[in-house]
Amino acid sequence: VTLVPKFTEEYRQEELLRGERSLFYFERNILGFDLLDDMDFELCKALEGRAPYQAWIRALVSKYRAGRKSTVASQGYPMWRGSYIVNFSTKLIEGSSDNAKYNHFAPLVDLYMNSPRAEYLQWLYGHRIPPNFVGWNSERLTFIKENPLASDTLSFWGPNSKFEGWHGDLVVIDDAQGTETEGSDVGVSDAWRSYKRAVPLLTDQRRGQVVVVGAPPISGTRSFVHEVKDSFEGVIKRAA
Amino acid sequence: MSFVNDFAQCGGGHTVFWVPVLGPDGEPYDKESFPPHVIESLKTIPDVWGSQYLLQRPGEHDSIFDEQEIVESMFEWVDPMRTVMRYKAFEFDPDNLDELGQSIPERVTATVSLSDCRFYMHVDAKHKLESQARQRGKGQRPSKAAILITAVAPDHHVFIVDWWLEAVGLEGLARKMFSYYCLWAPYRISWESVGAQFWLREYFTKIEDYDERYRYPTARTRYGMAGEIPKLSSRMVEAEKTNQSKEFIARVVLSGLINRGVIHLDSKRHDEMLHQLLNVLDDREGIDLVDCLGQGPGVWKAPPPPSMFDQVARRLAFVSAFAQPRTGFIRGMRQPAGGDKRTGFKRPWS
Repeated sequence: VTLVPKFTEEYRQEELLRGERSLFYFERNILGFDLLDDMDFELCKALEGRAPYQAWIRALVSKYRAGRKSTVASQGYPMWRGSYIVNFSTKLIEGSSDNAKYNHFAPLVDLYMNSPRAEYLQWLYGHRIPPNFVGWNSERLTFIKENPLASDTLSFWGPNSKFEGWHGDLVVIDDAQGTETEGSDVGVSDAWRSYKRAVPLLTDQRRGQVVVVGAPPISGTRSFVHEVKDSFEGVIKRAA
Repeated sequence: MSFVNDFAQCGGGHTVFWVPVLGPDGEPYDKESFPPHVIESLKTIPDVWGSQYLLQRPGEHDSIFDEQEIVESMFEWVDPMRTVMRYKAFEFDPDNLDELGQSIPERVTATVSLSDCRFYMHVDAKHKLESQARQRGKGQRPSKAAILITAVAPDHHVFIVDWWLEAVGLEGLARKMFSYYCLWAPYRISWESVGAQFWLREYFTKIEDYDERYRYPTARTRYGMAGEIPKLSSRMVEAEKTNQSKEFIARVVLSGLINRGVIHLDSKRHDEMLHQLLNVLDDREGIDLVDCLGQGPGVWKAPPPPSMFDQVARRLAFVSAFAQPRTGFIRGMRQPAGGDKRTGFKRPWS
């Protein structure tokens, strides 16, 4: 006997609740990131601030290459927060706007609009997705919001963007330095500039979050993620 | 510090989630995606392995080159006249294969005479004199003119037998090049035809036009071939230089050869070369000798082994037995009656 889920309103509410309660469930079962494994489960718990991890306002996520760090932290996490918190807004800042657009942002738009899972997502989040995807384009993605002044649910900036005119709740700085730096440390300066300019853009300085995602560069003398790690470890050490 | 587990620490509203590919026990966290042969394969590119998989700081991952391997594979001179080198070569057993069907090399001690090697000269000019250069800022490496002499053995092993490094201009470099050319009689001279170095061959062509010493150079007898040798400019070939960075060339072109023990440094004279190799990522260090070495793989060609000359000599001796005593004309062997015994082949001529 094949079990077919009944797409009833009752089932939808249960599924919404399961997604809300677990970032891992949201990413793996709802968005369909089915390659996520045990380590990604731990990362999801850390991003949720669930025990044994703690609630955070600044986080650093660094995993080995192809370790799905961007999938979990830069794609899944902002969508999870945006799906369940009305007026929630995330800005994705990357070392190149092409990387942000084509590798991280556009696949999400495609997931909701055109993918085989699109119909299911539109059914499940019909109360959040605007009719006819009004406000969705190649630059931004917007769920239904109550505050007309709230920014888009997800949008992105490259290193040359002006870093103004946006205020939101979460900033994801992903691969800001770049992997192939060819020995130059310019990328580190740009990455720090992105970080320092992003913080004042948070709507609520006490709760707004910044998450840095990336891995050390192959060459050069400086590593942005190591410098962020040193900085965060200092705070963690003082707090302990 | 508040460590939650091996890979995460939290406190003060900050979280660090830091997961290298290997756990504290040396085993990969994701054993399915990183089985041992994949790990071994990734380790062959040390800087990518160190930074992208072990999440080490730049410079923490043993430079691009394996220092231990460089030191272990250094060659030494067998005789005081410095004509024979002893080094670690490879022996390939066709029955000893890895899981990919490739032969697993075994290290053996070998010797090679300089007279069996083919020499190459690699040149890197100093782009600007100190008086011409702007104040050196961040990211500008110090630079010197450099000449590197490599000897390529019949088994494709490469020996750095001589080098020169000095902060001189194009004229001083040209004089030194000619001196080294007469000393080593290299088969090819490579240089990067960029910037002011574009004129290097033209420069030599002009000198050769009016200076007889340059027009008819004579090699010294100690190394390589002796006697008159071709003009220096005729031996010059442009190194295949594209817009690749120094780091890329060191990583992609040289690291495989050096980390496998194919390029050998002199055990008695290696300090500067070793220093440059190990600091290739540090932009405060000059790496002119590494630049020179990076030109090598594009032009190196191993000479035929001495055994090949023996075979030719034996064959000549055999054939000459059939020569006419007066004219030296070789008729060839007489055809047996009825054609070849085994195949029955008959030549159409008698």
